[in-house]
Amino acid sequence: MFQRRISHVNRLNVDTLIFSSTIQLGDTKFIDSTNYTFALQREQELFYGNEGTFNDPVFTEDILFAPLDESFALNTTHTSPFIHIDFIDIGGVTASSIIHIGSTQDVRMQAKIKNIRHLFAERERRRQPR
Amino acid sequence: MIFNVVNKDICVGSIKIRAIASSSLLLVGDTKTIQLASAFDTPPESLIVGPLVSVAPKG
Repeated sequence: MFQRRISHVNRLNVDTLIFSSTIQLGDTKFIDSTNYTFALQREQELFYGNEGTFNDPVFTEDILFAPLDESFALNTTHTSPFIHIDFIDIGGVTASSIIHIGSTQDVRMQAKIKNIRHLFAERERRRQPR
Repeated sequence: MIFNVVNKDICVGSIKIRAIASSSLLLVGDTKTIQLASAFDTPPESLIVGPLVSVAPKG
């Protein structure tokens, strides 16, 4: 077991917490967080509600993570057993993000995003300067 | 290789963050490993110029 300190936060203010985000107070062992986003931007406000699939290669192909079996001689010394923070102020937490007050051991986070822009007409090409 | 780290006192006044997004992590504490991956796809064919058609509807 590696050495872990005690996190001490006096005040934490979070305005918005959405889309499977987490505030974790206390120690954890393993965190595995995944987020798939399909974003479709249109020139006009038009929403069918049945669009988009997660069959695209960006979602179906796995991102390779290195195995955690590397032996590594790390000696950590903590002169103080505390991490002090007086005030944390956060506007928004979204899309499988995590606020973690406390120690953990292994963290794995991944995000896969597909972004499509839908314009309704071809733009006039800008003239090249001479 | 022997890697020695000495963590001395940490005392932070205040942290102000606008947003934490897309599988991000704000960690106040210690950890052994962190693995992060992100894939963002917006290829040329993802720019659609055309009339009002539904994009890849579900079944």
